[in-house]
Amino acid sequence: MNRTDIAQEMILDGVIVRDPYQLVMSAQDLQALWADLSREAELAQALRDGCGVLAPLTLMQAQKEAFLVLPGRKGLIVQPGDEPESFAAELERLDLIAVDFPLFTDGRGHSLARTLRDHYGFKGELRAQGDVFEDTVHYLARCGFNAFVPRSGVPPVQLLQGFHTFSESYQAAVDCPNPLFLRRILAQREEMPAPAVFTGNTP
Amino acid sequence: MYQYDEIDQRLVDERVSQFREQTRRFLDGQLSEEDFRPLRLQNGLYIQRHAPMLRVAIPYGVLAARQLRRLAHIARTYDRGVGHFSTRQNIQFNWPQLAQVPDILAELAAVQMHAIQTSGNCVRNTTTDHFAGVAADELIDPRIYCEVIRQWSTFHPEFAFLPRKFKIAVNGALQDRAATWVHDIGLHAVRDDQGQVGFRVIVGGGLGRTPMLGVLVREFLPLPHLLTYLEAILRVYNRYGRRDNKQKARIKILVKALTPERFIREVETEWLRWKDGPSTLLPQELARIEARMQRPHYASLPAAPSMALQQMLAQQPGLRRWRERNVQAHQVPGYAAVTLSLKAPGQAPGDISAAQMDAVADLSEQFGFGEIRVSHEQNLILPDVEQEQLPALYAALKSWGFATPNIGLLSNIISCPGGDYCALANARSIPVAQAISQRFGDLQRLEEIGALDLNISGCMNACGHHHVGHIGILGVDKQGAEFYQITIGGRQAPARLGRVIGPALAAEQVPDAIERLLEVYLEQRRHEEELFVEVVERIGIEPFKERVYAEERQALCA
Ligand code: SF4
Repeated sequence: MNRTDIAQEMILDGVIVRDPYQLVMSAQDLQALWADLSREAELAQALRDGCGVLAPLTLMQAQKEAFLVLPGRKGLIVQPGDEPESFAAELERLDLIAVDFPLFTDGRGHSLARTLRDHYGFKGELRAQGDVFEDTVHYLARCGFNAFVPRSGVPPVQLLQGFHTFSESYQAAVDCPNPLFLRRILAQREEMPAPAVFTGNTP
Repeated sequence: MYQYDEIDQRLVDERVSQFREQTRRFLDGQLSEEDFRPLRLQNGLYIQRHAPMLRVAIPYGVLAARQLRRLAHIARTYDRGVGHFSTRQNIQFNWPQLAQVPDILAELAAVQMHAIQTSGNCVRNTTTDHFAGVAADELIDPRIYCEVIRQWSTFHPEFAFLPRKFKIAVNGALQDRAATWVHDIGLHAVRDDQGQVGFRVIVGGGLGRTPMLGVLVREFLPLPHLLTYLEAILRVYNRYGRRDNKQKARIKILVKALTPERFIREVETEWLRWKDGPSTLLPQELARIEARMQRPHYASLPAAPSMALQQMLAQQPGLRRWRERNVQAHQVPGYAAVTLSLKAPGQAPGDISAAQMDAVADLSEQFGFGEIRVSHEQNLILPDVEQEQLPALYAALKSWGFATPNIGLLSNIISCPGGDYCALANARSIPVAQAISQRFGDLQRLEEIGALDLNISGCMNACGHHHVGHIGILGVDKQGAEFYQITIGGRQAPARLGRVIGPALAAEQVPDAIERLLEVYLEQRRHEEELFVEVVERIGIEPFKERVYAEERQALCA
């Protein structure tokens, strides 16, 4: 299989990069990759040097060890309805979770991302792919995505304009774990003595 | 009312720029209708029957005089000189031009207003008691918590694309005037055994196609946990709410599908992950918001009406009747809250002209602190009127057509815009409302009938809250013709859903059917205080049904 023509351009941490991951969609693909690895030493080296392999969650579940012991980085493609519990045990061995957005109006991926970051503490690359364009990336970034593959027809550079739509935000999210009100209070506390403890009654 | 700070203002301004750019791209063909649709909806913009419809947020129904003047200006400049107050304390303009909407939003932003999240599958404008802050039976001022929720929900990155729209109501008083049992989330302030105030949390109520009362999810939520708890509910809904069928996508269906017990378990489990985290509310923030709300400087006035006022009330039956019906007790001695009826006989409920808006703005300054409330019953309220000024205000209101003394009575009809404007309608609502208010225009008769809520919706979406009307009217489509189904026995507090009395009727039959219903009621009631709904509860719907369809049956037998 030809692995050079699948590299697409995307955004990672605010800059345009080529996607270093290659896609493995089926058990046959995975077998073929292992066969290639045994023949070509430079391929294993390339994987170790920063390339990686991306596979759907279902394939990882069916071929867990064959996938997870691959050299280099590993990533999973998950659907918005997938339960994080179903791959949480493997998170430490994964470098990338790519969440699919079949439609930009499907907000399940937003909550999934937030749960992966804030509850499971996932520190790797969190990628939004599918129906992703400049009007959607601001919220996605706030929910913890740091990588974005635009939908076809949208050049990655166009996404960059979307990140700065709003210069401030009220509520806590992954990008900013303290809500505005808390940041404001903490800023004041630096200048003033500690306030009274909150008891739950209206002041 | 809440005054924006620099950040509040900046965010609203940035929203205007964002939408201006999106509209430009749409008009240039760079953004498809499919992509633009959800984006414009989150700015309150629908494509309606005749033209776009723009729904402007009036957060928790509170308006300043200068804001109302700006709405009048918008009605004149960008519309046909009319606005329509909706049943969710918002205002709708039915004739703006799409290309001008960014300008309208800029006009709004200049007076600290917006149309953010007034539509779309996101957290909508939070509603509350229209007497918030002035009602005598209040435990907490719900406006503070509404503002907390407004800020938290504005551009919430995680909950912008929910399975369906999401409506939150907050009630701070003993009496539920915010319909907390029929919202996606209803928050009702309560006091626990230790005397602390918290919220009773009700989830999954709603009207629409599948009307149901909410489920009590938590008897007592301490106030600091408000936002983390809301997030837990929303996250469970966002993950598990149905997205395959629009009609089954509201949270009420999820609560039912999971069972309330399991739903509560999911929410509580999720909440424990976030409880006591950074989003826990702090007293400094509540104090900050309260300070920005600038409670008016009330004068200290005697509680009892003066001799002169008493005399006037004795001599002028019109004034007396209006005071009984349209004037509400106030927390502060010597003050009253006055409802301006937008329900004169023959008027389209909730409609108001630009000139009337300007007039109300002037009156709010002359007879108060320049504040106006919008009620979900589609009326306006001047919340802080000195009681001694009531006769002068009455005279002014009469000249503007706002003094119909029908608050709480049959002709105070709640009605959605229906088929005259709304693209989803099965039937028109406004002509039916007008026909009924004309038929029952006689004040003496209205008084004799007593308190009665009549609500009309043009389709199953139930924007006119017909299920909770003592009498509800629903527009239905029968082979392309407009028909009206009648329900009776609904009520808002304590919430109860009405029941259908029989086959739908043609528009011209509706006022007669109401006559029949009222005949039965007047014959059957035990005393004048027994409400129409109470009679329905006592004797059931059969006698009413019998009477309404008797003639039809006779016609069939003959
Ligand atoms: S109830 Fe139906 S007709 Fe009336 S405003 Fe709502 S959607 Fe439109």
